[in-house]
Amino acid sequence: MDWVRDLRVLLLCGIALAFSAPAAWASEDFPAPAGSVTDQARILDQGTAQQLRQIVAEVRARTSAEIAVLTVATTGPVPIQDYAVGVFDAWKIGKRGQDNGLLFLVAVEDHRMWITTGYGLEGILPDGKIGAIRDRVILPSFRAGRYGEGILRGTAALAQVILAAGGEPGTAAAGRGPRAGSGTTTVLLVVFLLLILSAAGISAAERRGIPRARGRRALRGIAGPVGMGLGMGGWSGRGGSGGGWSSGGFSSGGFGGFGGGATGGGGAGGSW
Amino acid sequence: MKAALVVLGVIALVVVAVGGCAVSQYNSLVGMDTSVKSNWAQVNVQLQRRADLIPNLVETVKGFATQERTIFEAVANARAKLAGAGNIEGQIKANNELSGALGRLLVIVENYPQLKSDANFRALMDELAGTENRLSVERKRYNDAVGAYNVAVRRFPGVLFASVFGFREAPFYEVPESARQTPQVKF
Repeated sequence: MDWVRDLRVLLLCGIALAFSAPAAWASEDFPAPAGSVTDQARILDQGTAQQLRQIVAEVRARTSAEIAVLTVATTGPVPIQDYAVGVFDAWKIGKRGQDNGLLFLVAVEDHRMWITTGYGLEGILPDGKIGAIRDRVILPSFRAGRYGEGILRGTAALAQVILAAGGEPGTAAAGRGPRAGSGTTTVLLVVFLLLILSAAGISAAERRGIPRARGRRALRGIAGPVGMGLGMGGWSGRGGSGGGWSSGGFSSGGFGGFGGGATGGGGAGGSW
Repeated sequence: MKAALVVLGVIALVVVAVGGCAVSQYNSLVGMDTSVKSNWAQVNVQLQRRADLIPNLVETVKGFATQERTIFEAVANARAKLAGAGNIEGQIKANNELSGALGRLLVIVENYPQLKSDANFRALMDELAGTENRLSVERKRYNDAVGAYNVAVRRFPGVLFASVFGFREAPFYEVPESARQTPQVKF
């Protein structure tokens, strides 16, 4: 009977597909961005936060580079560099393709800070330059307990460098490997199979030559392939999506989210 | 006659189905293998970057700590060995040795406080710390790619096809305890 044959093929491919399910992404617990300045440790007063947002907005408008400031009380057991890279990857700061993002992370209770640049800003802001800004402008204020001033002056200095360079990222390296496109090929194979089955199903029904049951048999012949097609559609949708989900919506006015950029983990930081 | 045709049809369909699954397995293994290789290339970029920073660092330290000859030789030897390393395992081993030598150099640096106030040295240390961080990010991405690839090569339908097509497990980039010292910037 046609549908038994269809079922057998369905079962075989279903088993193969069950074994090829993609691995789930593990997500760490990072704070959600509240605009470009996320002051979770509450060390910035209103005026300073406002000035910071203005600087960031100007840089973004003139060069499309995205700066994000995050203050936390502590990064827990995670070293600050790893935490900064994790936040950067979760928020995806900087324009996709250009990777011109920058994250200024301060862990107040840990007395540590780290500034991470995306691939695109590494040419303009090499680690040594960031280190010089840190020593000249940021750490002296931090040591005196004036965090707001330190962050503001540091961000202003970094913004100055980015604006002076015109925000040209030079070569934005595509640092990720190729995305697997195996889903498309499998779908094509399955469609090919469906065509064979439908053709075989219809020709077998005609050969039996029972006019009364023809409609029913043809229907059964198609039901199997159609079921497979629906199953395949769901699977290929999952297999086709790679990284690059946009970070969710924001309520802070005029911000609109980050651009999907990536980082290689470079930058500089220190403790006080 | 009709029964034979039906049986033939079933066999043909099974062969096509299994063949289709083999093709998709092969394609996904190729994709993962290429991902492993491209991630290794990224790791290599950062390893090279670190290797390029080292002569400058050694020269700067030599200016302040002229008598520490043994450690300078150890670093120079370890760096020279990088060129001789062959496959991925060899390169990992040579770079772990270099990390160890570098760690010992940084321990010595602690004894020379005037070194820390040298602007050139501070810039180099920042570059080195940034590069070590980049290296650890690329290493993590490489190990993730290797993990996915090794699982695909070893679990059920993949294990049947992998040895036929010549896919073997890839090595993880493991850092031994002795070489696990990232430079800390303490000023």
